[in-house]
Amino acid sequence: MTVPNTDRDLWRKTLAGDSAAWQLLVKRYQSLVYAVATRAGLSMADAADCFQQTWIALYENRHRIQDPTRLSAWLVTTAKREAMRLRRRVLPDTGDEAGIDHPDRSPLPDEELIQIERQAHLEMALAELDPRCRQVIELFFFAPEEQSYHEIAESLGMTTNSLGPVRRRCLERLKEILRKNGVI
Amino acid sequence: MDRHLHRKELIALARKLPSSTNQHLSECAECREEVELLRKFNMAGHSRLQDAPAAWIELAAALAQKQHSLEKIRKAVAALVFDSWAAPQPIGVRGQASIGERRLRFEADRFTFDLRAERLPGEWAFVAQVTCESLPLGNFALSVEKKELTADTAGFFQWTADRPPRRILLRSDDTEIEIPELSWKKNRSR
Repeated sequence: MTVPNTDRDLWRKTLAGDSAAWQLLVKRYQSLVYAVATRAGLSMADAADCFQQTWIALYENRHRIQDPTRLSAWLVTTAKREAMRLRRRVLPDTGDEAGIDHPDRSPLPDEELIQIERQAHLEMALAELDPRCRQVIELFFFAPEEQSYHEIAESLGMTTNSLGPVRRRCLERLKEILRKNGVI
Repeated sequence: MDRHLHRKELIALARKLPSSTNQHLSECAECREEVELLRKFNMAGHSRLQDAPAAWIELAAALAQKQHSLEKIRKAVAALVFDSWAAPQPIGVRGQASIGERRLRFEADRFTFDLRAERLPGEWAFVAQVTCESLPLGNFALSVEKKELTADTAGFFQWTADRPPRRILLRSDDTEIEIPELSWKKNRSR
């Protein structure tokens, strides 16, 4: 199994002019930027604009980014700023400090942005797991219906006795990946 | 942490968990860590983040390639080889050369750029042509101040403006040619 590039590796290569590294970064974080753009109450055309402007901003400022391990936070902040700019362009002037985000009316509260970012990191970490562990984690934690230990063991072709240690081992691997990626 | 849990919140949590679970969590660091991970990442039946449309991703991914192409473009500054405002009048002809019309010719590398400017009431009209031995003539673009123009198949550009341009940039796929800054003062040229 090839070791996936860390953000730091891909960033270093992008700065050196490697367009393939840039493409990998885009693919890695596209769902994160898309989530911010589409949850801001924008039309799809504006969401597309928000999406592209965020990536353009990242590329144009690439030599100024000091900490490439915080790319996800940079993308979330920039996508939100771009989304708010587009919202202000289309919203009528309410005469009530128009253009100023009020925390209780903002379509992208900070808490939601943090959760989106964490979810993106979790999904990236899941993608790095071996297929078996990925299946275990998904069955335990992401299956739409609550399954019993017995049902899960059956899906995995295991006994219920061996399920506990396997689950724990897979969670440990997930945690290692999250630590390696600087998320926990 | 801004504040501790309110007493009501603590009671609600305590009621949800049986005392045996609470007891275990207080004694088992491993389980506490796992609960913390599950809470932090909301690992409980949430739907995955959706992928952006493929076309959006491709466009963003192509940014680096586009920049790489831009960096390969050759740049040149054209030389002025003819200016009708600077050309001497034929012997015996009186008066100044017409300031309502100006013809300029520039050369750079394998390109020639001819520009004719005519002053009309309230505006200027321009016709320019780029010629080049080896390239299709329609493959050129012209940046004139804030306007962007594309040549027709014969290499012609046409536009009007309130005032004559100072800066003109001519572009093909691999070359960018800067036309020297133009002065439009009477009977002067650069």
